[in-house]
Amino acid sequence: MRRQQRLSDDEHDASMDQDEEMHNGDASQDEDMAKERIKDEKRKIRQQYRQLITDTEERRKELMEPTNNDLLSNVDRANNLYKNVFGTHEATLDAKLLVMSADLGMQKAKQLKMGQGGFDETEYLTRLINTMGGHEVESEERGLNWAKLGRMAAKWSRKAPTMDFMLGPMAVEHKTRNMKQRTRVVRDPKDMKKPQELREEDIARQENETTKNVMQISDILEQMEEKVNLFHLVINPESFGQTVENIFYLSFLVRDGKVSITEEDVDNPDIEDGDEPREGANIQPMVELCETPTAEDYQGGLLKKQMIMNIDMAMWRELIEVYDIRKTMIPTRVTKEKMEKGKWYG
Amino acid sequence: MDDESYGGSSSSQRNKRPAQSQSSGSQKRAMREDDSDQGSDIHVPVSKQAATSGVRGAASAAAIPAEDMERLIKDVVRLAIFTAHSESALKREDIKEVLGNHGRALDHVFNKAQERLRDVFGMELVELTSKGRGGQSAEKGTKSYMLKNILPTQLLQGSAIDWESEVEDMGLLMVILSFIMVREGTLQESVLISNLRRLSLLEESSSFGDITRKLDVLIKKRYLEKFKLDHMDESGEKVEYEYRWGARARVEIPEENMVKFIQEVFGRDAPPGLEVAIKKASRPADSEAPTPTASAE
Repeated sequence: MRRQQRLSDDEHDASMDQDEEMHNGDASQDEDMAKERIKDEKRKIRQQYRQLITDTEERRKELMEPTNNDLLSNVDRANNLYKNVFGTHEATLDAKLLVMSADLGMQKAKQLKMGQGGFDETEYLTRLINTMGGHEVESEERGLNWAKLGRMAAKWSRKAPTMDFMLGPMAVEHKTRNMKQRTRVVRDPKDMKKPQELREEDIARQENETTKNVMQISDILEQMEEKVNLFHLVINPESFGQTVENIFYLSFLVRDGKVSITEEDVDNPDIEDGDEPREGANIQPMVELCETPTAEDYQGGLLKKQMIMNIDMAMWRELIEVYDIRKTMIPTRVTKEKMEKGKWYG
Repeated sequence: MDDESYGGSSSSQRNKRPAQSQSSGSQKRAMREDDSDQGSDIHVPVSKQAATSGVRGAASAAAIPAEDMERLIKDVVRLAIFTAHSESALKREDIKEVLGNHGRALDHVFNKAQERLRDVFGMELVELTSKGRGGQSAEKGTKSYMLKNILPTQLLQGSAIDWESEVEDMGLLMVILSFIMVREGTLQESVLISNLRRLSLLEESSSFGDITRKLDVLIKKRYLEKFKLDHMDESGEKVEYEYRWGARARVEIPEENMVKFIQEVFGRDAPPGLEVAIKKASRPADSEAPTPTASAE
């Protein structure tokens, strides 16, 4: 039981332990303790060896440095450890470390090259730089003079000089570039159109329609000399669109205070605005020109009123019917559908 | 029979440019798509008939009229110099292509061209060798050639050649090769880079531009060889590369010349025994042969 437990404790060294355990069978407790101590000791040595091996492996680069003497002290440490080695396993580890050290030593020696009488590369590099003027002040800017070194080198080279130019090319075959033949679109000159040339007079100034139309309504109202029904004024029985436009133009006049829209009993025009309309009054919205209110008027409490007018085609038709509108007061504007050819609007 | 066919083509050759002057009718041109021929704009037309020509062996050379032979030799010389200019290797097949129908006469024409190169140009074609991965194994032929300058040393010493703009690159190459040589012929990339850094070559203002690209070009031109280094440890340390001399470098720069160059860099106040040190450093430890010059100094 106990033996098995130990084995699993230290599987790594299982084979070693096994031998000892055999004799250990019915030994006294003292003896047991001594064996235990030895085992501990061995384990310690093995651990130290392993540590040393790992160290050496990890510090490989460092150990290879020419000035680094740790490789030697490594071997010393191993020698010290070896004094306490009395098992084969430990000895194997020692051998492994030694082989490794020797390997490193060889590589190191190779890197070092022969010490005495060896070729001094550092010196060589310095001399190279000197030859190329490296330690002169001006070379800071110009860099090393490789041409100078090159001329020295050329004397020792058996390179065959060749010439750039020889009579005739050596059957030079240009790499045929895979040019995709682009089909050029050939246009018939007859089909071609010259872009229109523009001169100043070609640009027709676009008239300000809105202002013009607003003025037109104002003129019409002036000629009326009396109030006119809003719908008679704006509705164009020929065109719903122009009706809407008319309302739009009229609104400018109203906004500017040039025209007033009032609700009036057309049958009794004498009744004042503010009065309560009597029963069955025929109240219609009437439009007339008025004096433009001054700033004082506004200061005196005159308020601007805003009204949004709604109209759709159904209402438009109904209004035409109700007011029996046959003719438009504001003449139908002719839309310039056909622009004069070649004219541009700016 | 043969005479007749040669006669037929010779008439057309006279007034044509040499390289593309095989029998006029069925001449086909083919672009060589060969990676190792980078940067070269030399493309040699191939005659489809070359393979089927019934000329045999040594007799072929004799069968070629003198005038045609002269033309072929000149073509090969020309090709050699052109190839050298782009610093690419001249492959045997390239020569064959120039010869067209007379492929069988290659050896003869090659030798004649070699004579011409030596006598007239002071150059000769040298076979590029491959040393293989280990770098230690015997050199092997590659059936590729390059031109080597064979002017007398005194002439070269007297700076007879004006290298013009090439001179800086030659300096850089020499320095890199020297770094490699004094490390037994193999130089770890990290060491090379740190050396280049000391020479201010990693700076952006360096006149060589991106130095790693420069190294790549040197590798392509076979001045350098780059190998992935198998690291000795199992810990999977970062991959290191090492550089060796390439085949072209071995031809152009004899080792003793490199020694001389390094000595020249050290100048008059060179440390005593410098030559020995260089030679020792350039030889792998195990193959250290006693050098006569070493004992003399």
